[in-house]
Amino acid sequence: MQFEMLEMEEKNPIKTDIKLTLEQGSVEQSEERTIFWNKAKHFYRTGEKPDEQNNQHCKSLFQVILNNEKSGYPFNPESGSNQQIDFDNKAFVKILEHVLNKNLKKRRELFREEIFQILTALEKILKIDPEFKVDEMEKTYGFANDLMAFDKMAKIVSRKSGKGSNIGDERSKRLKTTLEILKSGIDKFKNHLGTIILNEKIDKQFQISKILNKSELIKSDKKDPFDLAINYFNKEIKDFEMLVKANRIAQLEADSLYQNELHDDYFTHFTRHRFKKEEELLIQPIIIIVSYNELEVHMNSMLKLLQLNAPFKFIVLRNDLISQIVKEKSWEDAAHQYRQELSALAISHRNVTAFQSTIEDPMYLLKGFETLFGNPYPCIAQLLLNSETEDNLDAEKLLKSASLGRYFPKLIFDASRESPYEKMDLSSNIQENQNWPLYILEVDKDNQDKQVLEFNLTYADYKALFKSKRSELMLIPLEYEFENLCPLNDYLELEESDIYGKVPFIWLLDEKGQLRKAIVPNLWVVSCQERLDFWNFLQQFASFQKSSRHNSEIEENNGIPEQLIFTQSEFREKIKKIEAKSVQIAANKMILGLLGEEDIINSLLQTEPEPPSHQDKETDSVEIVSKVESNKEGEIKASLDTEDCTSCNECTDQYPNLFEYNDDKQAVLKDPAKGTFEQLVKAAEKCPAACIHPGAPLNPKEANLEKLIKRAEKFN
Amino acid sequence: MIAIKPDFCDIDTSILEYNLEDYASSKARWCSGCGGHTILHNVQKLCKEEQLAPEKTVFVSGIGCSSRFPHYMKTYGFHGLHGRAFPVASGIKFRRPDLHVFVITGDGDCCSIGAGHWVHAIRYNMNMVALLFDNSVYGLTKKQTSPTSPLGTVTNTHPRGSVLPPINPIQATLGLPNVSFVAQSCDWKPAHLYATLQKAYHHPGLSFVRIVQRCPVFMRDVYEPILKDPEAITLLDHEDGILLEEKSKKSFRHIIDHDPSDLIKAREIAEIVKETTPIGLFYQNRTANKYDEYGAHNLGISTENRIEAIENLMDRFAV
Repeated sequence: MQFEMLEMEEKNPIKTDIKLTLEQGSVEQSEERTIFWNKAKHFYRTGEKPDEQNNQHCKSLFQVILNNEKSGYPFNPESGSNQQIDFDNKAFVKILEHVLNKNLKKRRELFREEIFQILTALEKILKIDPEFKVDEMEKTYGFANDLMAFDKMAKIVSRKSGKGSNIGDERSKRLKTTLEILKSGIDKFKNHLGTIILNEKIDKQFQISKILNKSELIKSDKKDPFDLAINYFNKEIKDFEMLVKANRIAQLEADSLYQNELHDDYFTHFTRHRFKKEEELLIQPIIIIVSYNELEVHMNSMLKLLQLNAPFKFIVLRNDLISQIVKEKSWEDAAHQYRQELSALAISHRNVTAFQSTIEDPMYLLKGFETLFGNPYPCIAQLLLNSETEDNLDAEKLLKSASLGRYFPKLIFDASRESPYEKMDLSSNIQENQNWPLYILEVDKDNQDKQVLEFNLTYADYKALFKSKRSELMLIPLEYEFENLCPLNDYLELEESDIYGKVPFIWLLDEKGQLRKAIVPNLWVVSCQERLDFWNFLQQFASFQKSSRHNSEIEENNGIPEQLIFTQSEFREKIKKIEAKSVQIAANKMILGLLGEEDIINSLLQTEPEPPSHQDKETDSVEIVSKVESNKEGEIKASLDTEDCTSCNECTDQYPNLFEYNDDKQAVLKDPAKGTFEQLVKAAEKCPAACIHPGAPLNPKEANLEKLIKRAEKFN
Repeated sequence: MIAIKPDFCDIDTSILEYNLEDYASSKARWCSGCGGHTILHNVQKLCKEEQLAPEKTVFVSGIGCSSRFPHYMKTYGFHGLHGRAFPVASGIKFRRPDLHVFVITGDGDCCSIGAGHWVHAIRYNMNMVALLFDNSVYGLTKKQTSPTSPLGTVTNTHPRGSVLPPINPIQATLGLPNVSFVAQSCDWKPAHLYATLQKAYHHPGLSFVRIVQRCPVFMRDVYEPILKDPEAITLLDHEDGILLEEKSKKSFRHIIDHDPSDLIKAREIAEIVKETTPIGLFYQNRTANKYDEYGAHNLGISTENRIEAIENLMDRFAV
């Protein structure tokens, strides 16, 4: 019961300004109508239309609604920069490039910096205690060849002499090999951003080699791209394992923590399975861009790759999906879409991150790619591309409605998240906790009353976008109306026993802008059911009940129980204190009483311990808070951006009554009431970082206030 | 992170943690509002972040407003001869490679009387940090023309305006042989200043940082417009350069991409100073020769061994 109520509250339909008209037919009984109803039922069962009916001129509701929606393009991946990405089929490659550049590069730069630091540290250890080799000495001091006998000196000057400079043969050997590996490894490390495996056709179509020019490209023409990936990975990982190993040893050496008996054994058997998470993230990701058709052929080797648990990033381009809808003819087509759900495959593989999105949503692409390259797991990304249809539908809207109609939901399944409730992200789908998105349209009924109607947009509405599919529907004449007609989304939720006799319909829009009902054939219902099943499957992972659960948690936290817990603990403390005190008092008085003063025993039995009086402080603080808050609401208060302070002493020297330094030696504003407004304005004018904002004057009687306010304007 | 061997010094430095107060000495006597305060604070912050042991850190300066710096640091310091900060620092680094050496110098100290030492210190490329506090005026002598004063600056020595074009310290340094790290920052962008100091500290070799510094007392009319005008500063941005947070980057109107390994481009950018002040990393070369590498030999040899070596050497000349 409670659950139902919560669900009701969550239904937030999307309001639109679109106005449509609706003429309502009557439910009158007549012979003609009965004949039509029988035809309709027959049509629903078989999909065979009795007569040629022309509904080509009708529109799907998607076409109407999406006309009013804004597109995500042109897109700035970085706020504040001028880089702009316009919508075309290459847009996703540009976003991918941005993510590679931003995430991967920075991560690797930091690692390089770390290694450079460790290199200098190691070199220092070796330098402070150099080996006195004759060759090297001659090289350095060769100019003094006539004066010195280096071979003799080398014997005399023991390198083990001196305080604390003994590092021993074994250690210096280890240090040197580590240094060499680090030096050679670090050069290799910068070379490219990720390795991309793809075939010539995809490269040509999306100009990937042109846009991702900083990555290494491997063409997989007619070869199995996944075999290529495995071979490449096995080759590369060995070098990287060596580098990480050398880095770890170097870190230990630099801190003088390396212990032979502990670490020797550990590092002889060091493989990538001992990597920390940060190190795993540094492994060169292998990005495999394939079309779905190619993937289908090599499915087995792909599954093998997933088992390796290495950063293979599959980007699967789905340009087959949209044209498939048009081809959907048989029961098989309609009911077995699940075979193609790669994301479900990824989820079932446990440690695989899944991402699917249409290429029309740049924000989500960015988020998805960031997740993809932000975790060390293998990832499958599915991108829905546009494919040409005979209707010349606008690609951007077609793709957008694919996710709205739950045909191709956008999702991120981040395997690296710990909490199971946070793994699945469906937030980019409209009304992700509903079965189908709910819209509100304003409707002129019979040219008189204005009324608001709610519509659920279903997969059937999406299908109706295509002309050839629309002709499979059967329009109901304007004047007709039947009791047993049922909106498709309601029909899908009906119990088995209630279905009999009911016929589902969806809304279409005819050329006059009037809403019309169209009967949906059973084949469509099956495919809608199938899409809904998949959607519910995803919702379960996103814990559809999550939102309701969260709500109740928040309510609990905000509500009385928290207060109760607080006061309870407060009282417990008080009681403890009183107990401790009263025991002492009682003991004292008992002693006195035993010594002979009976009155005290009587008084002991009557008095009660006083409540502790730490309330005073609280009331004080409350008063101060209220003082500050009551300063003329709505007016700007004086403030100081401490983070921007340059610590130049200008304000603190001039007006120590107003400003002081905090522990980080950056200025803070004490209390604006302790100085004049003029002082505040002068300080703001002098501040080199312009981080003082004088706000509004506190004292309305101050002299020259008007001029000062004008001067202060610049800094507020 | 510096690899001092624990047994090399007597105190176990790894267990101590230094705070800002551990580096702050007496209160700085610069005028209030002076850019020096900002630099001082950021250097102290750097010491704290890097946990530099005060007894292992040396600040060497020459003469001038800026050169009072060592007095305000609770580390070792050397307030030296006019123009001779570099040679003193080089000497320290040459025989004590375990110390962190910072050179503090001003526009007069470095570009005028100390210009000869400046040239060779760059060429020696010893592992130190050199900070040039450039306020374009001799403040300690109450407003006299400095080699970096803009043309036409009215001062006590040039009451009708200075007549010679100023030295461009960045351009001059970039023209020297074996230069390995040249950066520029300004005192009123604390985030950038701190990031620059950090980068300079980690550079293996001499990192030369020119800090454009306000003089609010004598040069207010020169710096006021730059402070107010966001167009007056250009940020050099690159992943190999000074890494700033996105938030701090937003305060810059002009950002240009500059690869610090490109010396020719660096020289080109150093020339644009007339229109705008470029700040960021101009040039970095990690592999330049370092002269101090040749000085650290024979450290830690006992006196007996030393005597033995000299005796042996002398024996060769015995008749």
